[in-house]
Amino acid sequence: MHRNGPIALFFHGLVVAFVLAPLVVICLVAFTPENTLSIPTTSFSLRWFAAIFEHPDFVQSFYNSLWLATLAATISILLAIPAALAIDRYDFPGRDALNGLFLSPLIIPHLVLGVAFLRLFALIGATGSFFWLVFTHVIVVTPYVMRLVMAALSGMDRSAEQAATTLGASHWTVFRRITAPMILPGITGGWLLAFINSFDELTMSIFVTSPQTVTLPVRMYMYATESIDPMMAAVSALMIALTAAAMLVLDRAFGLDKILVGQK
Amino acid sequence: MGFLTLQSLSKVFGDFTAVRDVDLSVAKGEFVSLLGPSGCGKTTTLQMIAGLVEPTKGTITLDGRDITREKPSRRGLGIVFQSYALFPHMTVAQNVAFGLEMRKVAKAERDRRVKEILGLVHLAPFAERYPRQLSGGQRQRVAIARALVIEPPVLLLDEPLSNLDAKLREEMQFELRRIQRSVGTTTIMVTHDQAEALSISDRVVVMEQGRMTQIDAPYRLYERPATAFISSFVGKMNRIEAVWRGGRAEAGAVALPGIAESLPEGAPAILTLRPEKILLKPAGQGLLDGRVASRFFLGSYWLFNVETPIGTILVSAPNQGGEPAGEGESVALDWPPDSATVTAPAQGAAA
Ligand SMILES: Nc1ncnc2c1ncn2[C@@H]1O[C@H](COP(=O)(O)OP(=O)(O)OP(=O)(O)O)[C@@H](O)[C@H]1O
Ligand SMILES: [Mg+2]
Repeated sequence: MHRNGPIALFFHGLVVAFVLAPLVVICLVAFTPENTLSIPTTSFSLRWFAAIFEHPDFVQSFYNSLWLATLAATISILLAIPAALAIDRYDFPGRDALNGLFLSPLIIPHLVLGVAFLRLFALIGATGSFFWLVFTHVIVVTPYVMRLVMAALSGMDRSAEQAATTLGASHWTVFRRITAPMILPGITGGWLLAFINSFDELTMSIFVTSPQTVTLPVRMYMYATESIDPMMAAVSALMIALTAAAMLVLDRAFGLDKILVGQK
Repeated sequence: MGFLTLQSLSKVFGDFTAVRDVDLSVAKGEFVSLLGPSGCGKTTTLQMIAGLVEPTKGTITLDGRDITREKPSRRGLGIVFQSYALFPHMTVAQNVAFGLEMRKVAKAERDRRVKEILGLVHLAPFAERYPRQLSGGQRQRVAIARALVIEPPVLLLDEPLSNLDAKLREEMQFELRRIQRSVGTTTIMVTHDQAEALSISDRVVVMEQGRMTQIDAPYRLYERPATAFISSFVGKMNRIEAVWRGGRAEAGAVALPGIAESLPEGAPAILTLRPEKILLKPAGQGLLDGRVASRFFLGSYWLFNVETPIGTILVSAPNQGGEPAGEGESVALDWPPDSATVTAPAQGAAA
């Protein structure tokens, strides 16, 4: 490993500062006692955090998003693992087409998807259904999951599977005991990426949510178009804190480098 | 009939024949090496025995039973892969126990057998480590233990020592032979290292371009290589072009003694002669005079390139302590007639 020179360090610092600055500012603003988006200077207040809980619709939207992201990420993992295995391991007619199909939502703008789904749901009478909302999110997050699982599969040593087979393991046992643990970093990484993407998806969700299924980003967007007050900052700060806490728990439980990078 | 037999076994990939009509019979408890250059089909042959590659043609039998179409998981053979193929997320003990678990061996019995085999490969203190915490030689022994613990009828090894450095490799060769002897498992090892094949096998199978060209005990392979390719691949060999005249081989009017098959008068002939069979004598006292062009000291022996009227000849002589003939000095070469072989060159051209 070569060490970074002073100039490289300076630029690394700059990039990190550039990325973190808005987050820090938002978190500070959340504690303002004022009615405007300002950085607190003299005193701190929790009034905007309290305000969130006076808006039950925000709390409801938070749960909607949490459920939605959990379901979408989990379903897409369950779809992506067999699909990635098939594409990676077998040569069959339509293999490239299937691969393309799974990755195509990446290149279609979410705006277009949103409008298309809106029309489709109106046609089949599915408007406002939570089930169909999950369906749309599964479609947009699956490419990310596929990419990570495929990368993990193509990077793994196939001979470990062969060794397990010759030791008497059935196909299913090989997958459960050898393949799955070896691609676990790809699976967890894919799940997290899918979860975050779904939790934070706005453009398409604006079109396909209904009043009962409004997600947190859509709720925030609607709120922000009417009034700008520090409550938005408080919601954002809470989300940052939740994400950080989730990462911490994951790290304590499994080791983040282990599940995201692999254990080599 | 052998314990493990291959009968006209072939593997064709598309229009490329990787293994061609291979016949082999291995006796119970025997240690056989598959030796050959890269790409000659050694791994493919081994994987067909293991069931990981499906043969295009031919049959494989184990203890009289046809296993050609049997699934690899049912064959019960022990395999050590070139990359070791350890399970990175399992400890050494878990790796070794895996095959026993698949056989539904009870926990207590499993632990006992894992412990026993780890003792055999000198890895008992490392049972709770992960593969990434082991050295190359230790990983290799885990792979061997994992394959042996299921008490397989046949152990298949694919270049198990090629990733190790020279010193460790030599140690592991002895180790491998010791383990194999103490367990008595029939073993087939793939290697492209001729010294390794000669030193640890009961028999060596030489493969060239998908064919098995010689199957013999190591010393016979060395003394009586069946093809020109084998003579140059296994050890060093002098090949002197000669002409058959008056019932003997001649080159530049010098008669070259050697064991000969009868050739037509005036036909070209090739004399093959191992460097260590040649004796260096003072000039004028041998069969052939020459001049030492270069000399290398290799510890236990010296290697000379001697320029003679019939070409450069490689000579090796054991290190006796003193200093032998130096570069530029005149010497004579001599060899007993039964140490050289005279053949028709056609045989060489075929290989
Ligand atoms: N799946 C495959 N498809 C096509 N050709 C293959 C395949 N597997 C092996 N071959 C070819 O078959 C030949 C023999 O391969 P094999 O792996 O048996 O060689 P090897 O003797 O083990 O060589 P090495 O010493 O380099 O490991 C090679 O020319 C290789 O390119
Ligand atoms: Mg090979």
